[in-house]
Amino acid sequence: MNNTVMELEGTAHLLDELDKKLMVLLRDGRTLIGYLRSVDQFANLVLHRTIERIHVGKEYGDIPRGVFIVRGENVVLLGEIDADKEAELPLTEVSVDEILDAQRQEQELKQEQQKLVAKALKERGLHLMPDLTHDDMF
Amino acid sequence: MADTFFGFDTALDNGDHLLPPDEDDCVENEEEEYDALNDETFGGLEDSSVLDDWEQQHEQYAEFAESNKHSEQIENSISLLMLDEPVNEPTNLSKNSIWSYTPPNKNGDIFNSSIISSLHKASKSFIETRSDSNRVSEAHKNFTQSTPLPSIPISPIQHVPKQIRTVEELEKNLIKNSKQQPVQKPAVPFPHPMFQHPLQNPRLPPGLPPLGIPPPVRHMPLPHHPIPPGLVHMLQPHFMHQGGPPRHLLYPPGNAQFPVTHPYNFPPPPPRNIIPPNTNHMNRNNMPQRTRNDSYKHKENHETKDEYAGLMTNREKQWLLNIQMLQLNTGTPYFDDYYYTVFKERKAKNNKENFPNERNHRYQNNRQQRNNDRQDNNNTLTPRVYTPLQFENSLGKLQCGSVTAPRKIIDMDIVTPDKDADSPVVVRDTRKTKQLLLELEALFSLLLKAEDLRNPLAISNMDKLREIKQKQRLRELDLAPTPEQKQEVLKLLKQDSEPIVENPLDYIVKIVNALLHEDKFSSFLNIRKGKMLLLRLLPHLASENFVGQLLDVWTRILLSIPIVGRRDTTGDHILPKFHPFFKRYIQTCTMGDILDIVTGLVEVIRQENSRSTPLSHQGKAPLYFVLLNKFGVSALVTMLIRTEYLISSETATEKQQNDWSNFLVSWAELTGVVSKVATPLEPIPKQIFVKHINRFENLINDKKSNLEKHFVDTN
Repeated sequence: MNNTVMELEGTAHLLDELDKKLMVLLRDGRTLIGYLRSVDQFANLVLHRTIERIHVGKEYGDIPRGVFIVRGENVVLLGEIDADKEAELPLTEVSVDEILDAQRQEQELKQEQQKLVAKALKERGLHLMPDLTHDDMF
Repeated sequence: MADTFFGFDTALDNGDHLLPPDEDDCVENEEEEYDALNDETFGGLEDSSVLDDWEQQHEQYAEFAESNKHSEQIENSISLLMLDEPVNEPTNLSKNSIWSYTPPNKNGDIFNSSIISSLHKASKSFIETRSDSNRVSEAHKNFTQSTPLPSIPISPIQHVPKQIRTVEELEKNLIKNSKQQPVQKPAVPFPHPMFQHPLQNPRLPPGLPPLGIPPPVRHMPLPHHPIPPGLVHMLQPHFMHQGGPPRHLLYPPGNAQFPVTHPYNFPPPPPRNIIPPNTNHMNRNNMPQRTRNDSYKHKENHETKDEYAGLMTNREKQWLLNIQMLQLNTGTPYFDDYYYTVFKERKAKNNKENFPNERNHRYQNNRQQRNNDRQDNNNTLTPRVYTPLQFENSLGKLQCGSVTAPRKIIDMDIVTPDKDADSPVVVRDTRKTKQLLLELEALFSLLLKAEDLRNPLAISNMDKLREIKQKQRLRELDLAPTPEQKQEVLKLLKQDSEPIVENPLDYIVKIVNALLHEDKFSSFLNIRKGKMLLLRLLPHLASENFVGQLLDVWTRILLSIPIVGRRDTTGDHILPKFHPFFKRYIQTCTMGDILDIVTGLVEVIRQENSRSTPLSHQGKAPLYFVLLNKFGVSALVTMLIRTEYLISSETATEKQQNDWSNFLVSWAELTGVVSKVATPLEPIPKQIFVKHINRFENLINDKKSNLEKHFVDTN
């Protein structure tokens, strides 16, 4: 019996990404960064030493989360993190509280803009459905 | 059983007819009949030594602690033995395993038979395998020189069971077998191995008690205390060298707070957190001192990562890949997985051409083929249609699912919309391109169907598909409740069973007719896909069935050059690929055909509506644009050569020759006018040109030289 894992041709699998540091974008808009430890046939992921990274503008904040098990259907995309580039990010890191504040402000701004748009449309006789979440975009 | 309970009658009848006793009576009774310090509350005094002789107990514990040192050797050996087992069984917590949890018995006897027996085995094999028992003697020596051991609190043991003596026996055997070799190792200070691992292992192996299972305890009075810390220390570097898992063994065994870890548990991270240099962001929160130098840190980094790496064993990876392969298995890969199948075919063909020897078979056998070997597939494997278990009189469907048999949650059928309802076709300029593309798409699919009728891969897959359909119909037949439905299914079965015989020719005819229909030809050619369709179609038109239509096709191609030529020259470069076909066709042409083609080229189309003819095209013959196009001039050259042949073989009439010479004149004149005459793919051989030109007197010198300059082979 050969020790190496058999090659899979013509289709994709996540086994080559095991033990790599990956960035995973979830359907609800969260960004997780962690080491991929295990996968299964549904592309459920086990992420180790995970942090949740929140980006607002040119700033970001990391929240350490530990071990994550992500259900496969909730993953939008994932990609390997380049260690060198990670060390030289053009963004500034801020504390968790700061970034959460910034995020909240951003959300509020968006909501206000949406309200204005909805109002304007209403005046013109159109009804806008503002219920589209980030998830519904996919 | 007491007859009374707090003064109440404990007889079964409720005693309601009796007056409840007075309170005073109760207390009295209680005092009389209830002994607060009875045996039931405090346990029997059978073994008075247990309760009273705490001093003796303490001595026992002390001996216990000391004996643990030497029994660590046994422990180590056991762990080593466990390591020999296959690594991919991490949860091998069988009852006989030494690490399985055994709840303490009533009398506190933790060392039940299973542990003892396994220890027996372990130590026996240890004796057999371990040849470096010089350590044993050396350690033994060291111990006697070391300082007396401080007493360490251990878990309470009520009494020492007799079986413990076996360890002593084992130990004696070990020492007997050992060779007395002096070793020059300095004495090791005692506390070193004991406190090196202040382990707090949060991850307990399943089933282990929070208290450690102390290894077997020696019987009380022991003349010597072999194996000590020295041995422990010796074995340590060995483990470090191994680099990984076995570190958990060296925890002070007697300590109640240290849980003994399962050998296959990934050891907890070393007490000092190692931070890989790249994840400084991640671990910033738990960043301890970085006192080590870089090389050590790097080594530890590597080890830290390796400790968590490989959580997915090769077996599991293989399992996953197998599932994925399974999901890809269909009986008809040509339909379900067209690109991959064709890619494989081409690769195999290339390999056959390049390496026409036996080597291929070996390579092929190593790769697991996606649809297994086709031979196997035909014989044994048919796609298994899973019909979920259905229970009679039940309201729902089966709830549990698996990878190969997902549960059916929704009943969904595909309903094809009515094909008769056609939406009104609105032809507008903006929609014209889309319309054309759709039509081209339809024609292409017809062409692909026609080609598949002659493709062996497609044929085999088609047969396979038919088989699958038949089987499905048979299954439906079984399930059909009423005879009418059965009849229907039978009918369908018959339909499916008949192999459909189709003639590719029919398809080709359809395509050609569609192409030549309605003046859309030029528009088709303006789109790249149209050109590709034509290119792919031309080989099929080589037969005699299409002679008349071929002329039409080529005429239209050349006539469309004014519209199509520019785009093709700048972008697609597909028109020159038509040249070989044209050449082949022309060889079959008569003079009349050629004249038909060329007269069309000379006509200047004067149209009133300026929309269809752009300004640059006004008043110019198609020949003008033909001369600008590589394919165009190559076609002209080919025609000239053919004409020369026809004339020299005397199959051309006078009139025809006259007409041709007129054309030549126009050609020559335009050549002088056109700014950038294209170069033909194959120039006219000089002799042929000279011969041809001399037939016609009306080609005076400058015209002749024009033609010569651009189209004649000057070698």
